[in-house]
Amino acid sequence: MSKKKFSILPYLLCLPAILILIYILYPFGVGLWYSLTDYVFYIPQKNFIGFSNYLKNFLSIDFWISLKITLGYVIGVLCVEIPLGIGIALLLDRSHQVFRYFLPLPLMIPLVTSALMWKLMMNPDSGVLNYLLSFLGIKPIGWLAIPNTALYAIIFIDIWTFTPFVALIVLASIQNIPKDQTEAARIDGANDWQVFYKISIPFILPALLIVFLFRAIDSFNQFTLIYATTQGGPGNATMTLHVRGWYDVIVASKIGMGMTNLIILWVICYILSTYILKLWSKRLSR
Amino acid sequence: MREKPIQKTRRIILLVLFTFFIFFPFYWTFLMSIKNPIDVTNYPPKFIFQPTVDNYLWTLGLVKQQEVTAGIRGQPLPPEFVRAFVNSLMICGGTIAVSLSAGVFAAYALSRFTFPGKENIAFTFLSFRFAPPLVIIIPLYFVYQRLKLYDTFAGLILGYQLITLPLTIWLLRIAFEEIPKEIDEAATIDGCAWWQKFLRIDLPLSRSGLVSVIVLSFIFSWNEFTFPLIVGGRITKPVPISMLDFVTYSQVLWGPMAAAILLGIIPNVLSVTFILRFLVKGLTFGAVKE
Repeated sequence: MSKKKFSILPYLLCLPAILILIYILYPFGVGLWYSLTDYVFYIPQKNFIGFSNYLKNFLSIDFWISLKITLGYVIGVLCVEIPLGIGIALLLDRSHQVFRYFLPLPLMIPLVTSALMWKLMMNPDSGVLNYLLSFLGIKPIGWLAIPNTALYAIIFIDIWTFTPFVALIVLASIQNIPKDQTEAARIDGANDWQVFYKISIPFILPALLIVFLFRAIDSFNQFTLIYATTQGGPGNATMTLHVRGWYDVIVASKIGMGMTNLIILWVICYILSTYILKLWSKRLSR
Repeated sequence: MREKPIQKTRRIILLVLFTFFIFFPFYWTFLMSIKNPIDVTNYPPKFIFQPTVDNYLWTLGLVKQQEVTAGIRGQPLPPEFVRAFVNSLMICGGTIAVSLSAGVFAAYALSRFTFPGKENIAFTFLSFRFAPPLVIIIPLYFVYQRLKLYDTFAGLILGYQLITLPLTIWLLRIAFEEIPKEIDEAATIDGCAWWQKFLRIDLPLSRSGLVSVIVLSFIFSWNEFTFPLIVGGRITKPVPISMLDFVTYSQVLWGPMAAAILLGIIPNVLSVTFILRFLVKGLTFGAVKE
């Protein structure tokens, strides 16, 4: 707008959205307050106990086990999905359109349905997955039913669901690479690998950072998939920090303790997302 | 790009394998949904069998199936899937209505005006995308208990704004910013006030953006699981939660669950097909002479 005059109009236009924002921010503040109290279900009285929930958490072995499981989940997901997604995108870039139609399917459906579909196929007794693997000479696997494999099984379902997301974003980015750059490089005698490494990767880096951000944060915060398959079990083999927060509050009724776990997870996500977004905007402005 | 035939074959084989990997769970769920209870748990799994539509009929509440309802600790499971479907439609409709009516103005303000704190407001909306959902939802549960909003449609619709409002504001802001500046300036010269420009020019010109926002909001709110799990109950139960009803204490009703899974993703498939048809580029084409 050319007028330099201060106007109240844009704030008025934003007002409904800001009211909803406050409505959402309020529970967050309530949660922060609960994490500083000894609030337990059925005892209406809450006492302020400062940071002792946090201290208790950092001293308990369960917290560190959960953190280890969470990090294992995030690293497992990222290490497979991102290289695989880039690979698929490179294959799709040169192939017929028809292969792109099925790609968004796992992303469109409710996450709980992909969890249940795979649970159906991973059934150790009658599941089709063990049956298909038996042709390759692989002995029956317990999948979600056994502590040693449960986390890997959930990571596997996550890979099935979200590799298409990585592939689609990377594909869109690859298709924007200016053709004259790759052609010039080829005339100068660069091979496929060099073109990919020296031209494609730097060009798609901002998109890769965004994909990394979304996949990392969503894996830290994965709840639906774990709830619908194992609910943190067997034992606590899949008890990530997010699921532990749910477990502490809803199952064990320790509200203060559960909120402490969730706040710690929120801090991790907040630091990670601001750091990556800063990297991303730096990369874009270059 | 020259490619040896052997490379091309390898590429096609890899892609076919990956497509098979993506598609197989749907195929298998479909097979499960047309199997009799005896065939469902058979090992080795059957690929050829006598198909049946009983699972669909039972899930839709059209028929009582004795073999399935028996053995659930004496309680016949009422097929609540149809009600959940209606609930889901109501929640999605309300959610989209609220987030559009609040979001369209905020997006317009962010795209057309400069004002102090603008980028801060914009970023705050986005930052919710990166918070663990339960850090909001669990305290919301206690707030809702106090406000008597627990297990109500109004409570869920307001809660779902956490997911759809940031999406709406960001996508509509981009859609408004893509409208050529020349059109806006021409309208100002002709003496239009901001609301005239908004109603007569910007809103009609951004309709493909609006449609994609509506479809995406629909899919996101249709798929939402964590919110209704914590702050919803029996009355407001939507489709994703109702799928868990098929896992009962003594058995998992695989056949009806498979039918419910396939019925529950029909709206997603339909809306995505719709968006692909509608999204014709170039709605503003020809409005500005270059």
